[in-house]
Amino acid sequence: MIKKHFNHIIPIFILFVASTCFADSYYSALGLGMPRYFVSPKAVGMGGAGIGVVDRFTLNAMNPAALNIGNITTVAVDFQYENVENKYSGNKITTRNGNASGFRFIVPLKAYLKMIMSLRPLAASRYVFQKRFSNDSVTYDRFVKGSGGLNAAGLGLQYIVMPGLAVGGVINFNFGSFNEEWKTEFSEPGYKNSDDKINSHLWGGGLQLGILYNPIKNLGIGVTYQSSSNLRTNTQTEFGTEGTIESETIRLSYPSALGAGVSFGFSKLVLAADFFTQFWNKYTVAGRDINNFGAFKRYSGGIEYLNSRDPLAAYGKKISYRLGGYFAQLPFKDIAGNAVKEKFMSFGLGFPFQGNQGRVDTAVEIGTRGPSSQMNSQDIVIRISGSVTGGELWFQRRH
Amino acid sequence: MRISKYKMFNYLGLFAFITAILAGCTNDKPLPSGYELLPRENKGDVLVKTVRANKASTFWETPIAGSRNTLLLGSHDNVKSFIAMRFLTYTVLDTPSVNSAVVRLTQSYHTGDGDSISVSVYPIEPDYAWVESEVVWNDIKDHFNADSVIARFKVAPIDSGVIEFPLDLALVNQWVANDFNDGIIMMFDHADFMAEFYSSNASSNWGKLHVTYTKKGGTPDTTDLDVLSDASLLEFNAQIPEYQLDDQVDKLLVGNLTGYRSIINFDLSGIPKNATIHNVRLNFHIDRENSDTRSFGMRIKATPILNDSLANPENLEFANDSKAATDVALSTLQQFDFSSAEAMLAMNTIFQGWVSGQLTNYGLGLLPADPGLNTAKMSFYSGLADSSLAPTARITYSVPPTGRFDP
Repeated sequence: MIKKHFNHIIPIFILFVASTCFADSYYSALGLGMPRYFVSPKAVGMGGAGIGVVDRFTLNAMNPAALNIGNITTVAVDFQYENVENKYSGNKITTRNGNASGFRFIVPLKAYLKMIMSLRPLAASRYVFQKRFSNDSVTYDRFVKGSGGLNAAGLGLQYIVMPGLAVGGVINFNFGSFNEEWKTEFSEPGYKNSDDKINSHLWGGGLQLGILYNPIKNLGIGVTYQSSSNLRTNTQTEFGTEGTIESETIRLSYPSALGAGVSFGFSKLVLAADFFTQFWNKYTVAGRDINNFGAFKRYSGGIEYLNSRDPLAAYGKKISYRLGGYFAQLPFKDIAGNAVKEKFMSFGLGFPFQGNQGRVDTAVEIGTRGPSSQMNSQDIVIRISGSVTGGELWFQRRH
Repeated sequence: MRISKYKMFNYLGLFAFITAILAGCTNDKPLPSGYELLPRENKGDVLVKTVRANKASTFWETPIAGSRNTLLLGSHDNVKSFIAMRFLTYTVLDTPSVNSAVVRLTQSYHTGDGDSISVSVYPIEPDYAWVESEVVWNDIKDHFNADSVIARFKVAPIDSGVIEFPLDLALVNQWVANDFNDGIIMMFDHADFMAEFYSSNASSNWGKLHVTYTKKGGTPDTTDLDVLSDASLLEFNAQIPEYQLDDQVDKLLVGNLTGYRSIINFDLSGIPKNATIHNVRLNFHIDRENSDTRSFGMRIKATPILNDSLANPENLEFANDSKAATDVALSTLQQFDFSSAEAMLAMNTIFQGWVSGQLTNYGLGLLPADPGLNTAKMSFYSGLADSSLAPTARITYSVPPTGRFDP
């Protein structure tokens, strides 16, 4: 029986592993790329706030303690689409990208013990730059095309210590690849174009811990910690001259992170606020500090309105409405030393299906990244997220 | 209503698939900024370096001229050229009953001037199997009967015309009877100019043997027999022996007639081993006084030397034509560049091999691409007397960029 279930899950898993791509940004060419912050599909509509939120159909990716699936095996798959308008000194270009962005699969082992399997992006990178050069005899174009990212495949447990207190832990296998292709294309005949490819593969282990505490019925407090990850990195350079060089394995430090969130639940409203920081100022490559990196800080807040949780209520009353916003200070600094910032507003909806056996969550985030005073540039981002969460009773226990 | 557990996962998978398809991605759309700010220590910028040749030498090798589309008869630049020729007699004539046989050659050009050349024709030794694409004067000179002149004719210093001379009938009938044509050799004692004729490799006007003969049935007939093979046989009366290297010369000589070839070296140690060579443009200053080409110029081949045998140039091994760069030099110009797209791409490959170590840099040979074709010759300054006139290689290259995670 279990085998039959996995026959259906594996294609979905492959789809997620295939690629995680986001729209282009200059900043994604720095470090390990743009940090991807995702708590839950519900949280996306609430500005990303959700470390302290527990909900039947909210499979929390950031806090493994914040789960409430009962005895129902539950799976959630996520999708994300980005439209980025890159502005630079009056020039602008729009890039789009969309793809699956992760999944979480929770299996109840005991009433107080749940097994967690997950895949989620940690950082993503995608960019194409072009520059035309001319000298006295020839004109040529240089292209730089980069893509890749870092993902975490996790296996963990949630343990309900007692009513109102849960802890969770996930062991992550962090892995990813970063590919950069440098092309030189000449316009004159007799010149040989070149195409150098630099491919890096990274892998390493990591730990993610979480606590969820409900001191009183309507109050949820969540704390999450993500350990740093010592990533082994192999780089292979394929020259345009058809030679290949394999560099020595080096270590990258994917930095640790700490987050905390609080939620207040009322009969029809949920209020949530989070703070998250990742210590990118400690990002090192082969033991060497990378200058110009600061801590990633994110402040999120949001509200959800749900008229009724009654499965028999009219459908319109069962739809969740969410609103939120966040302010983030990215790890990157411009040449003047100013941190690059993001300011976003978000709106979200949650549509239950099959009575209340599952939910489709959608959210739209609109905001800006930058501007950088040196680059006179700004990204205007529209991000659309979607998630499907559903569950079924797989294991019937004798009592 | 309860949906089956299998169906639910199918819906999830389908939803994921459709979303991924509909969302779409933009590909290869360059951002309006960022290249300059990309934090890479080296971005693989394209660089240009001009390198001067640091060694120059010449030697000569007798050209093997049998595959050219000309036949040379006469003398020029201390080179004498005779002609060997044989006809396709045995497949056409069924009986040795030739009644007349006249050789027709079409003249196309002459270099130099003077009195007409008196040419004597001798039979080549029976059973001496000379091969058009290999034969040289030194091989054949002992294999003809110098006491038996079978025909005589004169060649005038003109640029077009047909020369006819009769062949000895007994010899022709012997060729037919033996089913093999040993051929003839055309020689002279003295010549002041070099005459050019169309060879059997030309697209038209090649030599013929016009015969009248009696068929087996007794019927008289006439026919034109084609040339089976022909070759110019060059004899260079040089001041230095063949294959003797003239080291550190002031002039780099390349000659179609003399067989002069030159060798230059470039020190490429200043180009990183992992560089990509985008373009190489070779430049030479022409010594016009000692150069002479017609309006269509002279094809010169630059090809890498594959072995370390400068001490004995006879054993020098040059890369084959597929790896050589070839371009046309004109003696009326001040400079010569390997500047055609094909030549530059070939040169890229040679220099790329040297720089990355796939090819050992034993030097670059400058050879006549059409040895024995005509009297064209080029002389380039080596830079020994005046370094500003040295051959140069203008190399456009780039070094692979620094990786994202290079420490």
